[in-house]
Amino acid sequence: MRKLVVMILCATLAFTQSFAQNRTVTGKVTDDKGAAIAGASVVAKSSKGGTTTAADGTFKLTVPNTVKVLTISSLNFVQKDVTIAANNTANASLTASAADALDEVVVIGYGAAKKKSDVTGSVVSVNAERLQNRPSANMFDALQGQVPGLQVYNSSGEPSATPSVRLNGVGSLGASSTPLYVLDGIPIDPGTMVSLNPEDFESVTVLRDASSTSIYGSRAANGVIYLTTKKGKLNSSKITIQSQYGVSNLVKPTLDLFNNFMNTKQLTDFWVATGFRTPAQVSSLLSQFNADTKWYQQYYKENIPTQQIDLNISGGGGKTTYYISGSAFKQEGLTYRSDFERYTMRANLNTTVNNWFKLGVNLSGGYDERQTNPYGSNSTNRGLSLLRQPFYSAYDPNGVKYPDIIPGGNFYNPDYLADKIQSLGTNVQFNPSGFIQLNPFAGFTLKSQAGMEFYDFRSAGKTLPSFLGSLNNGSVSESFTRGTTKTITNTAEYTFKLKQRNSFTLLAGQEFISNNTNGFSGSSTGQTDDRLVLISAGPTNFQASSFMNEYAFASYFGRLNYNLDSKYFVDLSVRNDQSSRFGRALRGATFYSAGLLWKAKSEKFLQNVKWIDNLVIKGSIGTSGNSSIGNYQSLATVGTNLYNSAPGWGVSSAGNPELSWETQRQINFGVQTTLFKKLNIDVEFFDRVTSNMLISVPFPWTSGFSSVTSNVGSLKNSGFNANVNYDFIKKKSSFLNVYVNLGYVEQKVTELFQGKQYWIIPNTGVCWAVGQPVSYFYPIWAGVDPANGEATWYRPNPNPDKIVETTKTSTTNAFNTAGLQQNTGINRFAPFNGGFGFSAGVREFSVSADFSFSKGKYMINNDRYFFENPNQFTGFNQSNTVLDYWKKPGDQTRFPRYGVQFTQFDTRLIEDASFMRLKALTFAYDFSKTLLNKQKVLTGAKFYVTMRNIWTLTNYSGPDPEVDTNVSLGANPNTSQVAVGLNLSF
Amino acid sequence: MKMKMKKLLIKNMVAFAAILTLGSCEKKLDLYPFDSIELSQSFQTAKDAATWNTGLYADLRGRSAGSYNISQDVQADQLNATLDFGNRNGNPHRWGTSFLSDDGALSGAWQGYYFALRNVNTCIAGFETIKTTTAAEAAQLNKFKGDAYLARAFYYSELILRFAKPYDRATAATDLGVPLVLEFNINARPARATVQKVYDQILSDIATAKLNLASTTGTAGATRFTIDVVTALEARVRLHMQDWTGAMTAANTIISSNRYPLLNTLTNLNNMWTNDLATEVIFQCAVVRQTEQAPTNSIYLGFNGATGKFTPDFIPTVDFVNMFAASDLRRQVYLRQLPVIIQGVNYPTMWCVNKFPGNPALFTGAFTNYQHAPKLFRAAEQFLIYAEAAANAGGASEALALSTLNTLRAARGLTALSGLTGAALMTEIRNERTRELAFEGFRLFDLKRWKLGFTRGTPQDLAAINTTPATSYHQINVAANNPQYVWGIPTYEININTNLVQNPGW
Repeated sequence: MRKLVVMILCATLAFTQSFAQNRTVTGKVTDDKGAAIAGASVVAKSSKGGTTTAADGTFKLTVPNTVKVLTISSLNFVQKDVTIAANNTANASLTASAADALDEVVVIGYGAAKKKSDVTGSVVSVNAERLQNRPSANMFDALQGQVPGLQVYNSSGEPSATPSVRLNGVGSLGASSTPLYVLDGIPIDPGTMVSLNPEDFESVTVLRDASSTSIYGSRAANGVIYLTTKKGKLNSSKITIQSQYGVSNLVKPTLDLFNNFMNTKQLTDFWVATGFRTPAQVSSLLSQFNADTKWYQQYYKENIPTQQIDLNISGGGGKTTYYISGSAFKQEGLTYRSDFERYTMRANLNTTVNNWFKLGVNLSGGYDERQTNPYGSNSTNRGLSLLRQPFYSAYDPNGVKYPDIIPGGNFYNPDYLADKIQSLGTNVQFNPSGFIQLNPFAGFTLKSQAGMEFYDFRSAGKTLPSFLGSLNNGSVSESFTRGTTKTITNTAEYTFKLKQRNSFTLLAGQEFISNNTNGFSGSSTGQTDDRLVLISAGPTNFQASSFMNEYAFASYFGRLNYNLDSKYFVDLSVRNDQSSRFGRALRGATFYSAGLLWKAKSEKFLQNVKWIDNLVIKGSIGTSGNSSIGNYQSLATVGTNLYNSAPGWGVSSAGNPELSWETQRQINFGVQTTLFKKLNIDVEFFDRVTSNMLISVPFPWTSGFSSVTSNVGSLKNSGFNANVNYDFIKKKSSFLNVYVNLGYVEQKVTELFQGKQYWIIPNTGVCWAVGQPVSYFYPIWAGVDPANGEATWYRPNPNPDKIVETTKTSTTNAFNTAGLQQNTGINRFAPFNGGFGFSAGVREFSVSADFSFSKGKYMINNDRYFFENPNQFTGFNQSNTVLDYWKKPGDQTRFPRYGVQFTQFDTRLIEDASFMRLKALTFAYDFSKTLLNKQKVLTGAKFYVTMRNIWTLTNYSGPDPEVDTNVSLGANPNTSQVAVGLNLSF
Repeated sequence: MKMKMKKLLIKNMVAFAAILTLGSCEKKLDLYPFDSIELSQSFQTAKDAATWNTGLYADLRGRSAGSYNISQDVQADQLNATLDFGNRNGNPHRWGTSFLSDDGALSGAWQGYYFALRNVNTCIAGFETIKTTTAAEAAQLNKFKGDAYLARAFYYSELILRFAKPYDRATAATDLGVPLVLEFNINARPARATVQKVYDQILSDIATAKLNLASTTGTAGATRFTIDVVTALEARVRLHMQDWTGAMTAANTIISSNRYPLLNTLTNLNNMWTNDLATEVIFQCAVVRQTEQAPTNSIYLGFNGATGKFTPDFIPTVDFVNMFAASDLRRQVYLRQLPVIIQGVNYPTMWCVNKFPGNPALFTGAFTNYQHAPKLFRAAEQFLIYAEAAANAGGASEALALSTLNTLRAARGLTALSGLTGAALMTEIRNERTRELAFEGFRLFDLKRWKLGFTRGTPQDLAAINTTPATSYHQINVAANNPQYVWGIPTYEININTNLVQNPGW
């Protein structure tokens, strides 16, 4: 607060300086069609002072007589200098910025949008149009491969899935590595994205360095993704209808796995060969059941529809702009009980009340229904359904599907399970925000913004009374969760110039964020009629429960942007945050940043170098924080339980009064250039050091706890991000642009806890070792001994302190996870991520392709433990790879002799899950250029065919390489879509 | 112009400051959970002590069944893994290289007992800080202290069975036991105490409990600790310590109290295991339908309500079934022939373990949820402790051993034995113990202290069970000195606490 007062005083002083000889200039600012532009900035060139235009575009400004020229600027318009006419008037007609120039305005935190080329930070802005019209509910799906350094993985084929997103590597070993998402100035949860309509976005801006993120302080260590929604434009109106229909299917790598299982003959022959069954037993079995079923075809559906429609109306007149939209989206997953259906509505209104007062309101609401297939890991009802024996049939001899239980197999038909055991989630999402903005005098802006993220999520589960597994004993449960996060932000911003060459923007602000999540649930059982399945219809087992938790952040921040001659730029920021999550004494932390930018092309010595069109060099340093852990972890607490209907207590958390922020220091250095008017290169190097990491530090179980969240250790991520694009053709009637995005991260653990040099996280295969990236530590497979068919593994370094140094000198036949685990040298996290593609067009036709890739990605394929382990899962179907087992001395085989466990958790299961995906391929025909001139209703019409994930290249043998995990088991694989769409505008 | 702007500015500033004050409020950062209270606030009144005391029983119930007895029972000699067992509990069952020190079977028990000890130790320290106001409160607090000490003795008696060599007077002072954690200290890195030290602590805690629970008379089916529970645990511990006289004295206190008469009809015996008839139960954990559940031993039945058939993970061996004479009431209660389906093949009369079928009064659905009140101390065990201790004591005690054994045999429908002494007597006592306490978690630790190896019994049907490799399943042969009789210290624990020494063979 004190900071703010001082600043306002300074501003006032600056303003009240008087001038010797003045004149008053009047004028009007309009666009090139003559419509008034309100709120345009009018500044005296080579002097101080300025004003903004009133609603009717007029202004009145007193300037010294020495001032001859006024500089007039407004967002979305090209800045213009106007000479003051002899009669003391100055009228200006501004032209709208070109579409591609629009991308160059970015929000880098609080305060007014900045020209992207003036920002010292590392900021990548993606025009949302690139991400729209996709057959996917979550816009982030399309962001994969589009921003260097931004890794986006979809871990599931569920239509309602939220992709995992990371920027410049994994920044923390314990706390979350997900960037902060900010929607029109209000932080939102990443999970909210799926509830928002992708068509409502104007742009997505990724803030990658400390200079741009430190102003977000406490939660910005993993970068910031700033989402801007669309606004109407003054004096225009536009109606757009977009409609799309498509189908989903499994992708090829998944089908390869699914088809790689034994058929009835292979399986029964294998049983006889291994002695599990006698030929007589097999023929007796086959006389009862001799189908050849590919069970995946029962668990995954084909050609499942996906559809969406979006209507938006935008425009503006007088002092007000509006953008109003509504949308519907429906997509089913390929598995049973997998579905997402969403309806959204948005109204963005902005108005200029008078020449010093503006306000705006964004109202976004939505409702969705979602179901996700619950049979993942370890369930033969989907994830492990490939283990089903092929000789059983899903159909009776007349070709009719068995309605409930598969004879012989004694398991349920998957659609019967889906019908009888239901669970439906419904979400009501409301993201309102509003601001008032005061411009008491030129260059000075006070803004107060309040916003909320609100959701009500209900989930209803029921087992119908007719379910054979619990006949006439239904069960019903309902749970209700409400989350509210309120954000109030107040800022004061003052822009001024000193001696014309020095431009300053000062910002001070304050923010308070509070969250409350609470819920309750109820259930009952004993329902006897499928038509009466309310909780109240169940006579027994009434249960109710509730929960609540809260967190809050209070922050103060300030920023200075300075430039000299629009050539040398300096940005400085500071932020102090306090969080309820930490011990009272250690609750606060201050983060800072400094950024420098040099527009080298503006220097005299480069101005004549014709082939360099642009050259910018920038660097920044700064800190930010991470507090993404659970609530209340600093407190030692006592939780409740029940015994014989009496309440009891037990210690529930050890607490840690020393708990404080995880901090990160990041340095960036970057170069941007445009050469030969065609080649754009943007390269940056970064170095992130995370310290005081919030880690669940392991404690001996004898202490009573397995872990306590503490600030320990440090981690370093360094690497580079690059974007290169080249305009082969850039003409009015045709274009061809090719781009490549690449992000590379080198990760190194630099310090751990309790003086440890390494820590193998139990049951994960993952190790943190000082001096190494997060790596897989696993028993290393040494092959099958051809002499006797024994399985062999390498022994680890006999010196336990040197287990990180793998020697591979001797082998053993005795498997022992704990005893054999050692450094495999395989990274947990993929160092290379990126994308490439092209867009091209000739007249009305256009085509674009976006590939994304991940290189150096490895996962433990836990499915193979089940699929390639016939003596562990005897009697179940197996991958036909198991046929390659040792039978006689000299055999060189993949698996040992029968009798030795075929598959253990060793390096054989760690697979290269690098992949390259054709994320999007779109062919479009744009009617607007020819046909539309012949009529007056339509102003635009586009027909397109778009495909998602239509092609994937990978060596990974599991269902899906893209899953973001160390151990993949029962993944619901990503699917591909082919969709056609029509966009019409009026 | 200037004046107007200035006024405007002041107006704006006032409005702005008003908004600011709305936003900032430091107090809003002091947030506390809604489902727990701060530990430092939890030992203030006698009511707090009662709540803590109740919590200790909830902890105990969570450690009364399920993996806490399944792990050692599947490791022992009486069960075969069926083809549908899906490798659940397969590692201890196979021994050798599949049973490792990072296995959930052993680490779960270690973790479970030490986590319970955390609360016990917190109580023992916290109860001392509570000021009582009335004599009744003081007496109650005294009882609670006794409960806490008894709980500690019980947990250490379970830990020492699993993670240390059986008590041997000659070597106990040097044999490694388990770490003795007697107060809640998150930063402690305790080394393993010797077996002797651990047993000394157990006896010391039992002595404290005996004083504090002296006036809490035992009653059949007690769901909170009584003086009889103290005595029953003492008998069990002294048997393990080969303190034959001590074990006999303690066990006889229970037997001669006649508070827990042995059940002697098929109906009653069946009622004990299906309807929680508590006549001969010294202590059982309370289970409340739907709201409070205990871990279950469902793996022995695997009932499918839709088909009415059973798919157990483990079935008893023929040898074990044949240990029960036709007249033995337990043959139809502890075991039962049920319609079983394994890998699609029907076995209409497969013998299954039926000791934990679930109490219908506790079902929450149409079919069993395997809930019953876990019986931690039964009178029958005290008869067996007395018999075994007396037989070991030898001499005149052998007759007492035989008569006590015959009392139990008679109740269970068996004829009296006569004239047995020495090894023959011991064999009958051991067989009786094996039959009576089967699948309640005793067998493996009995084999271990009797220093017996085993060959797993003959299976009921080779086609229904896992046989590959035979030497890991139905033909497994375990020597008496197999190091895996003593469970390994969990790998995790060894890694974190460098003061710990691993057991040989792990």
